[in-house]
Amino acid sequence: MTAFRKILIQISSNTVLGILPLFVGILVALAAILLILNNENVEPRAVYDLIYERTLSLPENRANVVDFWLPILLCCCGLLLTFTAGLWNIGIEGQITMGAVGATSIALFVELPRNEQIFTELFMAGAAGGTWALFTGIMRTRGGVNEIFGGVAMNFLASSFSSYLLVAPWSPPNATGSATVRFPANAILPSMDDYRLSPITIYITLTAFIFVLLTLSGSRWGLQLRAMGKNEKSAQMLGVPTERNIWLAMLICGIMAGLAGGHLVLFRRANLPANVSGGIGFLSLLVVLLASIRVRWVPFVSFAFALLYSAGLPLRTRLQLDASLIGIFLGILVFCVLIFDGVRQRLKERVEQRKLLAASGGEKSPPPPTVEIQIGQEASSGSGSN
Amino acid sequence: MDPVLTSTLADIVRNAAPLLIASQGELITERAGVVNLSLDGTILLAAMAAFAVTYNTGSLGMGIVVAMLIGMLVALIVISASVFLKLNQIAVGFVLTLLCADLSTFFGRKYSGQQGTEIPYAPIPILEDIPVIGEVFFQHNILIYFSLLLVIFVWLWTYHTRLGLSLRGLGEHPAAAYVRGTRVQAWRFVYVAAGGALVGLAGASYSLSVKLGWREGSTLGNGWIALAIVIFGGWRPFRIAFGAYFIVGLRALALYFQQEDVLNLPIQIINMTPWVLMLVTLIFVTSGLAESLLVIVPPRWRPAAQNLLRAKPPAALGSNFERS
Repeated sequence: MTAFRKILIQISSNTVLGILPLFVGILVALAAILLILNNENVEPRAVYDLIYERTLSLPENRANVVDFWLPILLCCCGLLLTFTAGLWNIGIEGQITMGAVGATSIALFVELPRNEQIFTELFMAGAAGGTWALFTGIMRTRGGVNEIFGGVAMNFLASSFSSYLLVAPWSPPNATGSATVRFPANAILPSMDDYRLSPITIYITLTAFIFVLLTLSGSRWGLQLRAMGKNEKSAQMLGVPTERNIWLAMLICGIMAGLAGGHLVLFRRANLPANVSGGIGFLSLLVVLLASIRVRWVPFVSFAFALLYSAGLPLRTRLQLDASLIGIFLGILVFCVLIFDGVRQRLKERVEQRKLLAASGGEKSPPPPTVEIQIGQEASSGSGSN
Repeated sequence: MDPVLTSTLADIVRNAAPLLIASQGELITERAGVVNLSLDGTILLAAMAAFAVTYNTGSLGMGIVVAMLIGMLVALIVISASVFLKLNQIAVGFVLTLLCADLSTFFGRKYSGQQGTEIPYAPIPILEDIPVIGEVFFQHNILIYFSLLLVIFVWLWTYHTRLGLSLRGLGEHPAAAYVRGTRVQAWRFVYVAAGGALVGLAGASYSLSVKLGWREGSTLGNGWIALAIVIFGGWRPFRIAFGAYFIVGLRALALYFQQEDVLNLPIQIINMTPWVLMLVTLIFVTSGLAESLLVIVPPRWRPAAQNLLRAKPPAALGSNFERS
């Protein structure tokens, strides 16, 4: 075999192995959905046609998908920072909700000239989301409360607080507590002339994406976050200010989530509804997991997710299928990609070990290091009885 | 004792049973060194499956077994992905919790709001007649008694048997357990499967006993609460049981306040109190604040108080074990 042929085989096998998990994941997820549709006596073609019709067939539908995509991408940008630092910001749903509440508090009760009004609303959205996330960060570093459980608690608190506002102080007269009154026109984000899209949200999302891309690919802070994600204790010993970085990553992620919440109420809904986040925070977590924290993949993956999710409602109304079918598809997809990526990694490791074994003349190479995930506070040995 | 208070206490024992079973299941899993984050979705799916199977077959036993098998299967997926593929247990658990929740919504829509079968009421003769205690503890169904016995069983197993010692070894120092002859991976699979089955049983106890029937998202959030209770309870069976009763007690208190018009607060605000208190307690216990306050405890009682307040996770929690 010539050297050139060897190189070609190497390149093609690496590329194929790299994207193979995604293809296998899509195939398995599609097979599972086909099975479910067959069980429900629904033609797969009818589902495809409906999704296409409601998302890509007309310019206004495409604009709707983009409008759905922007807040997801904004949340993903924030999550890229926290994931890189090894933080599971599950509390993002609560941060979106608090951002929406913050924006609503200005939209309903403050009257300013148009530009100042919009700026103040968005400022409050970012500040509320950021503060909510910062609480979780402080509880993690100062209180020893793992960010997963702190985040979950903060999600429930935000949801209860928002529900309280809807049934008591912000409830419209003779209303059931499902939403506030429609915001005045002055308080709603301006739209493009041709399509129902918010240019302000587009600028904010674009800026956030470029900021995260530059931060993670070429900044000292990005390098520090990566080091923390690999091993927080080692990073701390090497002089990385881990506590400050956790606070900062959580704060920025919260601001972005809060702005996403602001967009939902100030543009898409023009009021504050119950369950305003609608699961887009968890959806963003799936996107970042699927993209394996690769910044450049995130816009494409999040767009694909947004496209499928925005088709969820017509499934119920037209085909009597539940919108959760889309969630099942995405869940299976992400799960399969995780699994097959794991298979790929193990195969790669095995090939490398064989190579090392051959090079060392049969002497066994040391096993790869174990992965440590600490829940709660610092690890210790020994435990007492009750 | 006031009959209203006695009946409230009995309600707390009844309503806390699923949380108790799920958190003891997660305790076993985490003591073996594995984090199963899929609890919330698993409980939802198991609750739906238990109800659907019972509804279609008329057999309560079948419904409970299917729910336990679902819990076991999900838990086995988490540990298999960790052991064979070295995947992050948290990532796999999180994806599974969302997937299971969606599966429960999709497949459960046919059963939403339907009338189902309830686990029969089975008061224990003689014991049920004991004043107060009888009504609080011995006038329930078999699942509630199981939840009470489970706490004692897990405590005895963990701290007073040889196998329990090896269980703690799996979570604290798997390499040392291996050197002493414990088959680490095999036992981890066994304990994780057992823990998962208990989580499934918790789901079944919601739809067949505590929140009779099935509605979309009917148990949403309880899996996360169970996970938090394990930390709150410092990975110890009795403290976890206290945590479960504490949380359910707070909910009952909120309802009582609302019904009696004691506090003129909306239910949404009262609903927040268990979460606020849980966070405050977690901070108090896990930040070391509790231990630093031990100086005010007389030296004679200090070791006992220290042991009571300690909340340290198993040292090898979430880690992969490999034979070198």
